[in-house]
Amino acid sequence: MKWEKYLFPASLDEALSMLADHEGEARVIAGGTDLVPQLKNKERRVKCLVDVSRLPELKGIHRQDGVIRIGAAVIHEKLAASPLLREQACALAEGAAAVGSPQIRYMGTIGGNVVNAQPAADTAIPLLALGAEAEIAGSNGTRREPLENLYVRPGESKVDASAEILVALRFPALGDHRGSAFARLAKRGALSLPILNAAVVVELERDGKTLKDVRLALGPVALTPFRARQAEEVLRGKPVQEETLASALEIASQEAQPRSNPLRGSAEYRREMVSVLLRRALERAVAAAQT
Amino acid sequence: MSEEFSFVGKRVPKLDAPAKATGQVVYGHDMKLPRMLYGKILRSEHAHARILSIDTSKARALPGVRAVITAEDIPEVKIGWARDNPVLKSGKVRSVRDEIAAVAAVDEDTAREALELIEVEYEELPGVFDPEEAMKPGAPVLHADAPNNIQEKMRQAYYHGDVHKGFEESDVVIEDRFRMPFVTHCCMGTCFCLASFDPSGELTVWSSTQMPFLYQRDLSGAVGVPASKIRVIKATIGGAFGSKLDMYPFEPICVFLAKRTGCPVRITFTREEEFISSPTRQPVVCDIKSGAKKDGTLVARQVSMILDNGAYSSWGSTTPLVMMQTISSLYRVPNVKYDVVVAYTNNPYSGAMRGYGNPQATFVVECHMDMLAHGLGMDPMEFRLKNANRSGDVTGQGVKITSCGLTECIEKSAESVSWKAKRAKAGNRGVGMASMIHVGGGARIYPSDGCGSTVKVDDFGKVTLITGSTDMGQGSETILAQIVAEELGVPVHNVTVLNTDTYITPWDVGAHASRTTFVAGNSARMAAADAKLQILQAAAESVGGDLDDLDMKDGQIFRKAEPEETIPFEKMVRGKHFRPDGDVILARGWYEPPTERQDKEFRGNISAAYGFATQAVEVEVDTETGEVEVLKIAAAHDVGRAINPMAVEGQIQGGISMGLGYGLYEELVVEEGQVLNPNFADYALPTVLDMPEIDPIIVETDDPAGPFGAKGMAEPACIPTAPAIANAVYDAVGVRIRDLPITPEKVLRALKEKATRAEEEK
Amino acid sequence: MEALTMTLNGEEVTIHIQPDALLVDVLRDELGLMGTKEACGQGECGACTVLLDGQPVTSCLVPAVKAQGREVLTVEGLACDGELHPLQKAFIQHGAVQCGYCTPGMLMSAKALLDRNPHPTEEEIKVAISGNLCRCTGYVKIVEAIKAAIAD
Repeated sequence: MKWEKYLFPASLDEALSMLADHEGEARVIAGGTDLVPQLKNKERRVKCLVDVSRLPELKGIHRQDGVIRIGAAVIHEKLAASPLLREQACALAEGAAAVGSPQIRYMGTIGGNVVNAQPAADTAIPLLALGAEAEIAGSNGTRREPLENLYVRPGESKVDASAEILVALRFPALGDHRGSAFARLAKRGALSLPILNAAVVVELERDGKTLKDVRLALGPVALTPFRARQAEEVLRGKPVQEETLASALEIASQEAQPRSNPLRGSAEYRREMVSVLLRRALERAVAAAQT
Repeated sequence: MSEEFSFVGKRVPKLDAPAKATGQVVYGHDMKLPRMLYGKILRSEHAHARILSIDTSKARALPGVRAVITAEDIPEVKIGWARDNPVLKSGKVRSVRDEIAAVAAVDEDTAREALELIEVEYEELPGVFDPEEAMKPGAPVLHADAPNNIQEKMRQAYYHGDVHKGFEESDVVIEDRFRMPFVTHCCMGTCFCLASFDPSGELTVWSSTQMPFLYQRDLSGAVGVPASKIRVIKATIGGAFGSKLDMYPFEPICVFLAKRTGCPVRITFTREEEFISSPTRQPVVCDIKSGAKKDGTLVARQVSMILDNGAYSSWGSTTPLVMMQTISSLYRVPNVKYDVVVAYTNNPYSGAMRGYGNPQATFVVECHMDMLAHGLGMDPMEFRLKNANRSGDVTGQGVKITSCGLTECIEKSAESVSWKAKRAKAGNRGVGMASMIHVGGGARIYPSDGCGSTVKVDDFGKVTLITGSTDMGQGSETILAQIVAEELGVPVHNVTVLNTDTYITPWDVGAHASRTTFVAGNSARMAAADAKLQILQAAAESVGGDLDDLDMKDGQIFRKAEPEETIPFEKMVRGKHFRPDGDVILARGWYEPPTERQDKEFRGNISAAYGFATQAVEVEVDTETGEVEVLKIAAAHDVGRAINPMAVEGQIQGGISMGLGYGLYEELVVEEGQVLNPNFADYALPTVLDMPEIDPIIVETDDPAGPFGAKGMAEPACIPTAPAIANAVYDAVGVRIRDLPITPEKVLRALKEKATRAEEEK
Repeated sequence: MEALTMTLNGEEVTIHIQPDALLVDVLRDELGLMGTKEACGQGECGACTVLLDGQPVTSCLVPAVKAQGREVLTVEGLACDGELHPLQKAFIQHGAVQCGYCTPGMLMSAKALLDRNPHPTEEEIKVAISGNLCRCTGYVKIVEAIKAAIAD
């Protein structure tokens, strides 16, 4: 059997108890779009599934005190259509809209996307650029962790889905002088895994011409979602200008170290696309910040 | 032209569409019979290995398992045209597709579990995965009777004229190598087979086959049941595109499981199994040399191909027979030489796939035509027009071209993409075109290319066409119903079409070579004409008068002189039937196209008509990423006459999506004999978002031999797309990609090399 | 075995299933509704699309228990009182069906679209069926059929 028991807790606490009771043999399931194929293909084994997709504590997209908080069980379709996100975290809405297909977007969740721990995940890359933090509930209470810290290697998350539950993701909303953009390179218009995903968040000085802060996120160029920090350093505090841009992008494509994949592209091509995609995302993010 | 017809030329909705749109149609995958078991096949883990032992004891012991078979349990039979493919392998495996054992169990899960319990001990052998490597001395040998790994039966050579003289006469001579990869059919409905013996030993097989009668014969040879005791019924299938044109080991395996268990057994492939185990399109490595004169006359074409046979032989390795036709006969070319060598490797083997080698040959020929034109400084469209085939031509290979709309196709498709205005312009956009020739009136590759039909008319006016031909979803049933309705003079909704049940339907060689509309259509027309004659004779007897004075239309019989006075035809049918010396209306037609088989030098006119097409494409290239966006495809197809324009458009649009995939996206990545992308996530089939604007242009040349002038056109739609795209990319950004698919990475690399060369030349 | 109660094609249905049953198998094998097809089993082609509370999902990836207390609509539930749904009529009239294997999934994705957005643009139609693969038609007539159904 793929699983022996399938449980629907009515609350977060009940879900945590169910996990605890099963002592490592149960696992959290939300949409199941990654987990069900893994269980079918015997890439994972589990005795019990604890369905968190309906828990009220894991729902909602809200802004409070300049911070946007998104419940881990919010589906990609909602993220893509959210007016709040489109306005104040556009890269995330764009990333969510790029997930596989409408059917997957109606089932898959942002939490599941993070815990599945793929280095190029369409929502994880924008979340990284947005400086997101995760709220994780466990038997010892709830803790907060920067998103970056949750990744070990492809498919392996620090979140132990047999004992903990990712409850929400939070990041600062992008207000005035801030902008973001997401860019994707894939073989086809839909149903395709990315050759490269990039997300950029910028904050401009009041003059609208100088980069006060910039964050460049990329995947898959490493075992985990990647921030091109050296390139960010070069850009920070500088005016938005071709020379600086070109040298920063060159640095980004050096520090990112994509590998050759017979199905998705050679390392040389992917490295080159790093600078192309980042440039495109940067230009759009800056334009968004200027409006 | 179509105003004179009631049903020919009309957009009649497909007869089976309502049942499909409500989910009522029963596909092979939906079929359940009482006591039915589920079969599954254990395939090799290695591309080349000795089988040291197979232990099935644990699998046999699993509750719910009713049979486990290996090669020991069945007679030793090898299938395939070269008789080199054992149904179950013993001794040695030669590819990861190799069938080692099979189980039948009460449900799929149990069958799957049973496979996991079968223990196979292998001794891995070095493998060879490239046909050129395979032919070198010292390469691992796959089959004992082919010590140099060459499939000798397909080492072929063809020529007409003298290419050496031709090249001497030419002002421009160019030479290039092209490569085309493995791609696969990706039918939405995977392979399946359902076999059941009745107590008297009669075997019924529900199959997805495209060639029920040849399948009946092949199956008989493989399983040892006399063909007269085998009934082949084609279940409704989810696409074929040539993948069901041969009999593959899983089918006799299904029969053996049914025999052993005494229960019906159904085998359906999973999608992963389909990618790995269903035959692919034939990959080709091709060297071509072409020559032309500065006045634009095409002079010579020399082609040499190396084909990867794969581990066993199926139709893929026979594609040279079709490729030869394009090489010898696409455009007027006085001097041609073609040779091909086919070598065994431990790769997957190829079967028939829409176009049967023609997409590969056309890619090579049409890219080179473009390159010649550029070498001559000539507009590629003008170069093609100058050398276009014309009605009345007999090519060097003996291909007799009767109806021919090639010139019209070139001109109309070019106009649709504003060729003159858009060609050779600065910027990242460009236009390209490619044409094709394909058989459209049958293809005599077998002693008979015929099709039989029976038309039965009942007392209520219901007309039943019983045809030997096969509808695999392309809509041939509807076309045949229109033809019968038109010929007989009854509303098309009076007509029902039955096909593919070898106990009931007359013989037909199979749905291939785009022959169904032409051959089955002519056959159906003959039977309908016969039925009409019988009905009018009955009417003449009944109302008095001459046969010649009577006619029938819309189900009504009338005197030509007084067309307003009508009698419903079913009344005449009843009148003829219900009397002591009566008779029912039962008509027949057998149509064998007036063609010949090729002689030993591959010359001969194997088809009664040929279809032509030109596709013109506009692309935009993103020079930073190398991505090619196809903006528009204008597809002009000479179909003789469009019996059903809506169906013709559907074939064009669907064929283009396949050609687009072949040109830009699709590749079955095979490394060391393993398929690396056996799933839809990594095998890039075009989605709706990848489709360009399509302008389907129907060109009608009214073929003298076709039913109401129609010719076959289903394969042509996917044939010229890839070269048209390659040619458009060249026009857009000046790079020539010689191996498919045209990926962004290849385009970017080529752009860089071009820039580097330009720098160096400064 | 567990009891699953759902509103299936407008009717309340209770059925006993294995806890790890997938919705596509329950529909096809337990309930005999063969209209929903499985063409890949990995959520990568859309052939198995059904509507769950009005939203399109690939039923090959949906644990059947998730349908507990919810509404499920399959292709068999499109026609009403013997009258075909405008989408079905349009698919038939416009030549959008060839082999037909992708058709049920396409219809369900299209229905979900028109229910939430009665006047979609061509781009919105394409996005709505972007998760449904077809190898026969090239998608053109499917998009035309959906457009035609809007008018109805």
